[in-house]
Amino acid sequence: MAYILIIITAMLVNNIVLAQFLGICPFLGVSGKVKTAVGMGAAVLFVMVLATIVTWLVQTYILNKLGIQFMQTVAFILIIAALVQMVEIILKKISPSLYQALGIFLPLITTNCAILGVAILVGNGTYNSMGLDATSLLPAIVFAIGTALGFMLALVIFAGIREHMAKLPIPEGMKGVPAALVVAGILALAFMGFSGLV
Amino acid sequence: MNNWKNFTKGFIKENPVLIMLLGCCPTLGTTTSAINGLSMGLATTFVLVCSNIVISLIKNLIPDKVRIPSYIVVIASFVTVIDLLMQAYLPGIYETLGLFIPLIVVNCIVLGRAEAFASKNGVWASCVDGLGMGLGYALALMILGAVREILGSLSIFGWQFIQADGILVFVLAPGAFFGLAYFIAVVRRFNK
Amino acid sequence: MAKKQSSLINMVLTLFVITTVAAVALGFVYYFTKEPIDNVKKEKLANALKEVLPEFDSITAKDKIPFEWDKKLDTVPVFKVSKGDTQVGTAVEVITHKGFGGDVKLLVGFDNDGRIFGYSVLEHKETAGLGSKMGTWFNDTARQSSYVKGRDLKDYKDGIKVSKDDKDGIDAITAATISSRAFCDALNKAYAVYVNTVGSCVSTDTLIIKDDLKCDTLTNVSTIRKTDENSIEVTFKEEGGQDNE
Repeated sequence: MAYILIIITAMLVNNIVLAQFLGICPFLGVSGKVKTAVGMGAAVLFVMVLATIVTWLVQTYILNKLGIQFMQTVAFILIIAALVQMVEIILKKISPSLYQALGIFLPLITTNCAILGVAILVGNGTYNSMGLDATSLLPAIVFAIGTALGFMLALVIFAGIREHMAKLPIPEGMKGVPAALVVAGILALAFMGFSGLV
Repeated sequence: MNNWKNFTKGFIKENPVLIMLLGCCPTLGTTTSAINGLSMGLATTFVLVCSNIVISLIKNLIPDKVRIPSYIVVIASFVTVIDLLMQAYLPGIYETLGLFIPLIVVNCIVLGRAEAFASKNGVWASCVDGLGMGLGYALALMILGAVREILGSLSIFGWQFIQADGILVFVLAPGAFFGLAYFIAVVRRFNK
Repeated sequence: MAKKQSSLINMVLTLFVITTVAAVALGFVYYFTKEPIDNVKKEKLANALKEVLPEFDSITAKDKIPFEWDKKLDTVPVFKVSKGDTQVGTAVEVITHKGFGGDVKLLVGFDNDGRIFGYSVLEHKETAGLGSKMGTWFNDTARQSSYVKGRDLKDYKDGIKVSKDDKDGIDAITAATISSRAFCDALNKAYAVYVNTVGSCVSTDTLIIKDDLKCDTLTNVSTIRKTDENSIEVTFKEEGGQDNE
């Protein structure tokens, strides 16, 4: 039950894009079409879960053991960068079709602050674990999945709206990003309604 | 003269967040008040200036292919430095900014300036560029923070000018999006 | 100077050197900021204790008590403070997992009658502008329906709750019911711990003394000496009179 709550909270209540403001760049950048939004969302889901597992291991068995928690930022960003590279290479070899679908999004993910953000939250055990032990691995993975699903959901809804917006008459100064931000604001307003869920 | 131009370009003409749309996450996430926005901007400025200086110094020692990872290590180190310093000497602000301090490392402005400017220019020019860009960013964050604070909590820099509740939505998540949207639109209008 | 070639050895070497230099430099910064950071934490707790308890001049006891709450075992720090020789209050540091953004850490102070004397939010991740008002909302005399100071949690049968009715609990923060519920949960937990620790101290009817004691906690008494198996000798401070029992 607590695991379901973690997913619901991470996905809807504390949506990473609309409530936590992480991963805004890809949110504004690639969300012109629903299809690309789904691709980006899937790539983020994949890398986020993988990165969470690896950074959790590094945090628990290296940083905490040696008492060098201050190296966290340096270690995590390097791990994520290396991981993204590796995923790209492996995907290219093993599954060219999947690589075609996700490949173009992978380089963008290194600087997606949602990935590093989740890794740091999990590393410090400061995410909303609904009373479960925040320092153990399973709740962390569930939290990563929930967060990534929330990212994907926000991205897909947003892309759907923007597809329709392309045909609308919008004042010159508001065209593009400002209009997109207003839409994101309205979406954030809607997502606030989920706060009653938990 | 060239340096002066280099310095001022970050404020309006090439403002990182308002024109180039870089570093949106902290812009939205930390501007609940003018002070929060300004502190975030200044923390970013520190990292920007330091990493620009170091990268322009070591640019010739780094092979091209490992350029980006090397820059990231330099940037991440300075982020950790400001993180530790703020924990020690500005604990109150550190707590409000929270996660966004370590996340300076993935702020596109920092890596962007390293790659686009510091890796091609001298130390002094890179320093000035970092300072200008950083302060331009800080200014934008402070103004957005001030607007949200005035509308949302009826106060400015922590000073409550009307004893009442403001329009709450402006300090909440949606207010951040609306605020930035209109801010960008207004700047575009006057930048023409 | 010409740019270095991107040969494998050059690349590995460069990355290695940069990372090592960075690690060493950060180690130094960490070493120099460690003490101030620890001080900040200590100071924060000291200030919070001052805020939530009546005036005191010494912390007489600092314990970590294992305590079960919501089927979870937790160690809860408890502080007892005195002014002069009399104990004036107890503070309990609790964490609740029911917050909106995550865990909320609260320090709750009780006076000797078990009434809430004050509280301080030590850590929280509640939404700015809503749940984050927790620190002041329940501390505002202008809002009596939410004011917690002076309340005795013994008056609430099922624990204090978020409620419009004064008899059941406290009025929630506008638009932040979840944060307010978490706050109530923390208060209830703190009170349960408080009752637990105080109960074991106050209701001691029998005094067992193994050896001679020097006594500075009881007023007027300087020493309690064991004379034989069944009696003790109490020495008073002022008159020097002796009292045998």
